[in-house]
Amino acid sequence: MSRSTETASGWSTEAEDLGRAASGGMLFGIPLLFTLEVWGIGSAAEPPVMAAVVVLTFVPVILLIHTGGFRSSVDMSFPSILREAAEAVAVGIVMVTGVLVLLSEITLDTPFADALGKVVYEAAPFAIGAAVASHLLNQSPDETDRDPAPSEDGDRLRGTLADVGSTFVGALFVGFNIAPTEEIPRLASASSPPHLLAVMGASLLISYGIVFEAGFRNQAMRREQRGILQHPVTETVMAYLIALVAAAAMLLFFGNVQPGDPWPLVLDHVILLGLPAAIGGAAGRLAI
Amino acid sequence: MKVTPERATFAAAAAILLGLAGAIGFLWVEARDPASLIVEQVGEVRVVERQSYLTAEVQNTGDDTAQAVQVIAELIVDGEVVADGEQAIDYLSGGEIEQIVFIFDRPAPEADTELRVASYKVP
Repeated sequence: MSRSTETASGWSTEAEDLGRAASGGMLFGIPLLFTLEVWGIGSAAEPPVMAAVVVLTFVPVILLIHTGGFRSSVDMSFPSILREAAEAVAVGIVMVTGVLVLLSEITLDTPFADALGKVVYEAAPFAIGAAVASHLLNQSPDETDRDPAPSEDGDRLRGTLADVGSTFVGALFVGFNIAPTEEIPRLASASSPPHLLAVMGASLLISYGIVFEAGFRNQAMRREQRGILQHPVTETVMAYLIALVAAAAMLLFFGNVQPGDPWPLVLDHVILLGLPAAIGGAAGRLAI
Repeated sequence: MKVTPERATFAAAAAILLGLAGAIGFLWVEARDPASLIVEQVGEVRVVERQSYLTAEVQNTGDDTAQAVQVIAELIVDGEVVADGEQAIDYLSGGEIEQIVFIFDRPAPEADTELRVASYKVP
């Protein structure tokens, strides 16, 4: 292998590891990201408390990285664990800042201390999610891969139905914690069409990343599976539509939207709940 | 020194964490004023279908967060309070501004108004 190929492979592995960390953080941290009380606690946090939260975040992250981590390479030396812990916390900070900006919980008008407190508190579960990413979800393809499903029509249909079902159940699993709360109406009230488009784009990107790029369990099998809609891009789009349907059903179930409500109101509620629902749907498809 | 992907990632992570620590340290040593709340009317009173709409802006000019901020508005005609309203804001961080609207159940575009912050909770 030439040196340039080795370098490209190194960067590619690094990107995959970081993608796995970000996806693990998303899976673990998204419910807390939609919790009004955490925003309030973060806003009101004093700097000494923020510093303590950052330091305390490292404790479970270091312990979890000792047994799992997010990297595909296995180096259990203490300096290596510390490096990975710092990277997991940094990934959490970056991801949380991005999503809070996406949800308009941090804007240019947000006071600096307010934004910092929210990021510090919300980054803790994201960092923990990054630290357990490999431990919980990543296994080597050899351990988990089975032969691709036969490509007969009946199996294709069954595979597709299994995907639809698991996406729907995964979306419900995550979305049910968020749909009845006042977070979605509050976020919807502050949303704008460009924000909603950005949330849609992010939902698709995160869902694709979790299933097809993060190197979680069953990723290779999913790539090889032969279902009716199982090209990675079509599957991602189909799964997002299912997540939106699940989001609409949950909002109706809990009365956060009702028949007869204006369609723009329904649309922004569904798209906003569609973000955690899409993440849940991605986790559901990896679980089958 | 050769820049490997692992080194580049760690350098970026270290820079992010140092930036965070620096920001928290800056807030820590900076002198902080307690929450201080002002409320002002925005524009004129609007009349919509026999109701008066009064828009107000509440600002926390201090540094600390105020919780459960209670704002009271009164509509005054000929020196008498003819209607009043109350509104609470969950959290108002230092420097934050919130706009609120009171709706009074009578058309009074020329009425005087009085606005005040009645209370808040120290988080």
